[in-house]
Amino acid sequence: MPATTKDQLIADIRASYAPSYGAAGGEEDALHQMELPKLQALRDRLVRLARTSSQRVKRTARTEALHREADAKIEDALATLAGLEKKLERDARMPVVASAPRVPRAPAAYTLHGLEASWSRWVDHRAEWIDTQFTQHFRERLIEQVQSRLLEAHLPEDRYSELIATLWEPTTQALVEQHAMAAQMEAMRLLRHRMSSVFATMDQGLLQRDTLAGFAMDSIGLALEPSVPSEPGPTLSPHRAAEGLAKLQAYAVDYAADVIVVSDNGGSILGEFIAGEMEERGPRPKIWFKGREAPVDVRSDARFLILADVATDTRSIDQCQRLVAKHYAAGSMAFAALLGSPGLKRGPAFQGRLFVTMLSNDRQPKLPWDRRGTYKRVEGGHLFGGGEQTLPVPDRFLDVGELFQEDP
Amino acid sequence: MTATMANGADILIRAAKTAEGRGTFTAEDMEDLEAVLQLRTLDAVHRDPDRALEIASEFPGYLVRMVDEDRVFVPFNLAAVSPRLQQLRVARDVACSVRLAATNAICLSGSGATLGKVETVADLDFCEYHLGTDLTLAEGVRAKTKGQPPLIWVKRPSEKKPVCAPWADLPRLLEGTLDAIKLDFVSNSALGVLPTTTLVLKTSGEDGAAGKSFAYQEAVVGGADPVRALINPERLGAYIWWLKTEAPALLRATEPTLQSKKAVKALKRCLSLYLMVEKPEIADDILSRLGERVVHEVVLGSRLKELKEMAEAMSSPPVWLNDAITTLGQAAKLPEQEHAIALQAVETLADGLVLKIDAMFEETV
Repeated sequence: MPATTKDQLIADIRASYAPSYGAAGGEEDALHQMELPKLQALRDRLVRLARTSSQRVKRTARTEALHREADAKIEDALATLAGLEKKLERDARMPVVASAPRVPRAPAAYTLHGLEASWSRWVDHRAEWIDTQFTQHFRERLIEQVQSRLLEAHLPEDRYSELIATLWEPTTQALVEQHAMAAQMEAMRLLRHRMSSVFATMDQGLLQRDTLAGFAMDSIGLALEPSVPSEPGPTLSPHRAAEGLAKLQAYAVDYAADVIVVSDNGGSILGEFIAGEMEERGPRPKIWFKGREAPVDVRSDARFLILADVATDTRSIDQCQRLVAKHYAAGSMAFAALLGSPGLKRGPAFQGRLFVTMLSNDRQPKLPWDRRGTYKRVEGGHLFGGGEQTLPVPDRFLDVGELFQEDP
Repeated sequence: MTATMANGADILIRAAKTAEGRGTFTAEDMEDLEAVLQLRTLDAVHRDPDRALEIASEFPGYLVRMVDEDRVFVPFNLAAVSPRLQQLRVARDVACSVRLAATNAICLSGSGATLGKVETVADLDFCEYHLGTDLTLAEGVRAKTKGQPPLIWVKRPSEKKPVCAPWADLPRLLEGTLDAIKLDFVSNSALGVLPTTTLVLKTSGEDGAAGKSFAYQEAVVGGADPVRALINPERLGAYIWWLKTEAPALLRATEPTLQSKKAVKALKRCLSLYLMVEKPEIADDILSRLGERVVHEVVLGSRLKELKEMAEAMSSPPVWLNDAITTLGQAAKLPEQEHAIALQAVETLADGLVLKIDAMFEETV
């Protein structure tokens, strides 16, 4: 019977050719409307195609490898997009800084799970020195610092301070007591907030202003919407910037620097920030800008901290080192730098210890101020970045020598 | 019946390799391919979001639906993503406002043809098949310099620099034989303020400059009926090969003008390829990514950049263009730094898909 024959042909077609999207409803009618010979011809061709198709596709070791590589990339990209999507969702729920309501945030914003996860990541990444110094002293100091600042209303007076203070009470304060990590995270945000305040008082070039103000704004955003630091992508991470600044401060305090030597605008911002922090605990160190006159009234056993910002390179550190050695007969020097990448291009050529904090785990991170693209383009001018060797941990000392000679 | 099922992907890939001179196609293969395309067209009936597409029996490979009094033709491979009625209505009206002649077939091309599933687009692209002479083409272009929507640039594909208002160089540009010309407008419609391009190709069907575009990426939304044949193994193969090579080429591109949009463009090329070879699980995944807010932000960023460039090229941009630029700028939710991360992630995603496509081609013998 023709109807049965058509049904059978259509069944054969469906058994031969897999309609990837499933039935939409219209195609069965269309098949039924075809003339029988045409339907038969279609069936025959598709049956033949089905027979040969399986022989036409051959997976090999090479294509398996391609699939694996592709899957890794896709997974990586989707994870990044999912993270950003999540942030956008949060932002959609949270008004932007300028219009944020001055009401206490719900405690639910600080999740225990997130704090624990963050703490684990922190523990995984810190170096030995950080492990002891940070956990034993710095963390406590930060907690104390944060609490005292809040109690004494010591926050810089600008439009964000009230917001942060509002946020702090009562939810964060309770967490300070319960979870040291919460204090650390908030403290880092406050530190960066302080940096933005220092920065605002200084006459800096537009490029630096944009970059650092961007970081400061990010930190304020984070303070309003606390989020757990995640592994940064190939871009400088505000989380790592906050972390790096906090560690630089810890290092400078620990070293008890008498003079902070800075080479340029970026370094001077760091220098001002760290000097300001140290002043709260004792004498304010002198700041020496490389191009200006050397400070006087420096004691004979002075401790010089040479501080470089994210644009540091060997030449800059070398110059500062020679400058110190030229002007002062004795003392000690230490080197600290906030660097963009853990990729090691070549070893430092100076004597002393270098304390490094990284802004990204990627060896070729994109720099926000480099409009041309990636870190690779400017890596030639950097001590670190783009090299074959990657430091085993994001932050560590490189002990390459001792104090400089008494008789330079 | 046979225990093995085909989905046609292998023969489509072989058609692509053959078009590139990397394989052979027998008469039997041709028949098989035609059968696959025939069935693909049947399977595309009612596949669109409005479930309105029917077989266009006069134009094999196309499906058709009515938009008011007009017929809109959609290639089988775009049925599942084709725009909804209201989107088609607006796109048709924009098409009518930018086309050179009412007798030409004008097609919604590129991402506009996927509006049914991807609602945020950076621009609207049309392809107009000019069925008239050089003279009528030149006259049409001259007329567009005075009308609406504002025409910003006119360019021959062979030349690097476009011509813009006050059009002093236009007579020189329109001299001689004109086979293809690109016009950049900025349109203001219910789809938003959008950079809007038309690639005008002089042809009478498959001849002339028609080969500069592929009918498989175009929904015919106005004017003449389809002038291109879809059941054309050679062109189909060439289209698939072009998609395969275009995605990685975009990712490698260094032109400054492409940097903000190349990642999403490459992702869309991958989507088109997967739609064509019918890999719905991957195509659907790409579609869902393209619908995410992060990608939406990236696309809007690209649109904003282009609108700014257009406004800068105009002596007195219309108020609505300036307003759109302000609104888009304010609507951006991703800070610059995260925007860059999102762009990089989309690029990595497209890169991964390109590798998968490479593997798929290599596996098909």
